[in-house]
Amino acid sequence: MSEHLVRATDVARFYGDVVGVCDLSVTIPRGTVGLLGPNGAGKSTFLKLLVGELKPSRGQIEVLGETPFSNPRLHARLGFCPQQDALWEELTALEFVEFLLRLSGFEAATARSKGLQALERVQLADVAHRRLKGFSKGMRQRTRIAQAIAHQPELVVLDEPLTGLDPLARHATLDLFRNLGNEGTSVVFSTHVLHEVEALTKNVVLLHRGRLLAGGEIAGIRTLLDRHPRRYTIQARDPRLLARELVSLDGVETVKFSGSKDTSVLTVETRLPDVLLRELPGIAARTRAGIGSLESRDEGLEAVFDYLMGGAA
Amino acid sequence: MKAEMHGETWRPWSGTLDGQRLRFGPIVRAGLRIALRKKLPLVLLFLPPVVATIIFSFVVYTVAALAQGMVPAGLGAAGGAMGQALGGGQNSLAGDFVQQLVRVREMIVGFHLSTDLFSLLLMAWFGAGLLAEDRRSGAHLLYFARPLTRTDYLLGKFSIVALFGVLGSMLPGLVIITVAVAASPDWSFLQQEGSVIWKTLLFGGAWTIVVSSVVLAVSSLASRRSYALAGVFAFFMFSGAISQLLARLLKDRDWLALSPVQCGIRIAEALFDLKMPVRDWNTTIAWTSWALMVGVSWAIIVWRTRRLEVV
Amino acid sequence: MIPLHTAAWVIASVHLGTLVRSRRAWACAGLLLLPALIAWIVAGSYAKATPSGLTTMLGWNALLQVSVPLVSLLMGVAVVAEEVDDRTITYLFLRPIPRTALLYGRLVTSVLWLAVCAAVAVALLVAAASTADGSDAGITNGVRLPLLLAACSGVAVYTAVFAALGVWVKNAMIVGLGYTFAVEGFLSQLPGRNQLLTLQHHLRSLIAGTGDDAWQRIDGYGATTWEPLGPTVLTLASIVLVAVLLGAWRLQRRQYELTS
Repeated sequence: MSEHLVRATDVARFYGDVVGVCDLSVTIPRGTVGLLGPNGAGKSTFLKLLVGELKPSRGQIEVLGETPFSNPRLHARLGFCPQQDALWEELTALEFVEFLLRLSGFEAATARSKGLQALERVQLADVAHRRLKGFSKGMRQRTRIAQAIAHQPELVVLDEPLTGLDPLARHATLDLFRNLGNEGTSVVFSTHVLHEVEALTKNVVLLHRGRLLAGGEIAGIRTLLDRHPRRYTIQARDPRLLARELVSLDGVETVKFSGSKDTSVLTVETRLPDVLLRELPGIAARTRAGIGSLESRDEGLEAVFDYLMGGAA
Repeated sequence: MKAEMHGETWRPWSGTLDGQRLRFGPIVRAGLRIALRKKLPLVLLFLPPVVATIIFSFVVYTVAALAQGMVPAGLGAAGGAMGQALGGGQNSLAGDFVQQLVRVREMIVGFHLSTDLFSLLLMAWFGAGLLAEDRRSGAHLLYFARPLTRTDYLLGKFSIVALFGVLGSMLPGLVIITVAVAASPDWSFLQQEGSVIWKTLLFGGAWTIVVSSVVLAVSSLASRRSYALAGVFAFFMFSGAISQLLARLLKDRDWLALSPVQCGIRIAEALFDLKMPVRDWNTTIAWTSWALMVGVSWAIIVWRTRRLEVV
Repeated sequence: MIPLHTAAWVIASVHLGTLVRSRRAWACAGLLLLPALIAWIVAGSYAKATPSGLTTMLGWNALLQVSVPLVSLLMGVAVVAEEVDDRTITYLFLRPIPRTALLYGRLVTSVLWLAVCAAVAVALLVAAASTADGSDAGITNGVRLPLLLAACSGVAVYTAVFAALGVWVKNAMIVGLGYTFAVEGFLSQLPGRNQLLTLQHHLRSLIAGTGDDAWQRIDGYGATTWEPLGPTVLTLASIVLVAVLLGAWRLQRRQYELTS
């Protein structure tokens, strides 16, 4: 069994003059990994290279220890949900999943039962015998997810799997990915919805303009971003009194009052968050500034994303 | 957050909207822009008629110039001597001149008929996907989210195809006629054979309308451009083969009316007064066949696009 | 990995189901039946039309020369290209099956459908021509069987060639149209042995090799040097084999950049 899920070394893929991905070297461990990036970052290209739909123009990519392009043996261990909304319209949902299961090597009867199970997992069991032509966008998306998981692959790759799903369906789909992860299946998925990635996994790969911006645990990436101080929002009865004390603390770079004259919100940026958090209770007691709340949204993926995008722009 | 209203910046519209008559104009412009993007098909499809037009212009110029050499008037003594040396009196020389101009007319008509095949290719290539691909990609939903009627939409699409038809069928003929007029002495071609101009416009226009209508009808029936293209060629090939077979089997040349190309040849011969008894069959039937083809094509187009504004 | 024949069989069985529900398949069937319709019209309108005369003339000029190449083009090009256009090829290429199973499975179904339609077309053509009032030797087995053989072989050969074309070339439909109606037409008019380069000549040689004297009334039949039956069959089979192998080779290596 390969230690890593994916190993890409100096991978590049060009579409004529257009760069899909370039100089991409990343190692993705087993587990659930989110692939993030703005439109045109190269997420779909990377996923297509991963599953073997495309070959790299340069470099090498290995998935589960094998080269993916035109590799049927590897494809038995992979499941892929493409981004494009393409289905065989004349087939029913069950026929569609069953057909692909039979191409995965299952006998007809087994394919049928597994197909039904997969459709049940994506809440489409009651419409299994309806033609795909009549499906809504969300139902089509769930059908595509069903075919990707039906044969119980080791690795499931999903390109924007939450697109077109209503909030309930999104929630159910995220639960599904969580369950897959608990069952030992590795999941790599791309999305724009940052808080949903955070809800599912701590491991992300960030792409921008075809290049790797960052990869790894979100908190770890955040720590690496030393040039961006941590930001804390403090609500206090007397923010100015508090600000006077905070300004002289080690590591504090900026102290801002946000909003109008009547606001009681203070935003502090510091390079030494430990110092701030250690000294703050004492300052609050001494000044009697009346601290109501202390918040930091800086540890989140959105902040990391913003910082990295802003820096890479 | 405090609620605010900015009533002072709003005022009711009191003007009148200009009724845009040519609402299909943007459709035509966009269609042409897309068509002109791919250079290779443009080169491959336009190059033969352009080259043929240039070569034929020289041929017509030469023949017209020969006709000029036969007429003594206007050339002075040398011309008169040459004219006399060719034998015959003034009347026979004038007769030869008229014959040359008739020859030029026949050559123009023959050229016109051959460029019509290229115009068919042009209209098929650029027109086959107009309705098929719109439906396939869902673009009609975008069109009808604008204040466009189905008539505007269809007129726009028709205009795109017809424009290529005009460029392929009418324009080369008019260029050749211009050369013939300019090369003939005192614009005698215009005086002698001037009717060929309006006949070229009439025939080219009718041919363009027939082919454009058939192309759009097939495009409305097909689910994608490649099938539409195959369908257009199938229609013209089949109708040509079947019409000739039936005409031969049933010993009745009126069956040639099944083929739009054969109708075109017959109409051209009748319109431009060409004497070709081998193909002598009823011209009225040819015109009727063309009219029927246009009628049936538009019936198909209207039927196939009847729900476009709604769906 | 799933064996090639199993994967091809699965693809073929599902494709057959979708094919019989498609407009394209029925349009092809209609195009093949057109000569029979013409035969029926002529048989009813022209007193001097003879059964074998109608069959040979329409079979040779309409069915074999126009219908067969055209329907084969419509179906053949779509063997792989339809999956690419519909962007469903992703699902098939990411299964543990040889890529060539897609080509073989869909090609077999397409040829099967067209062969059945061609056989029905020949049967109906013969039946319609039989109603003609003119008297001749009648439609013998020397007329109907060679026509059936040529029509079915024609759809097989043309479909295989156009399927391979669909794998290699982007605008396969245009190239196929150009080949069928321009190149073959042009080559067949040239003197000498240039006709050997056309599929039509070999299909007609099948008729010449198995047909009876009724075919002699076709224009140019007597003046043409036809190929012997054995080499003709071998040539046609080789063309199918080479086309399929070339298509399979290309399909194994080809990448399809599908837009979302």
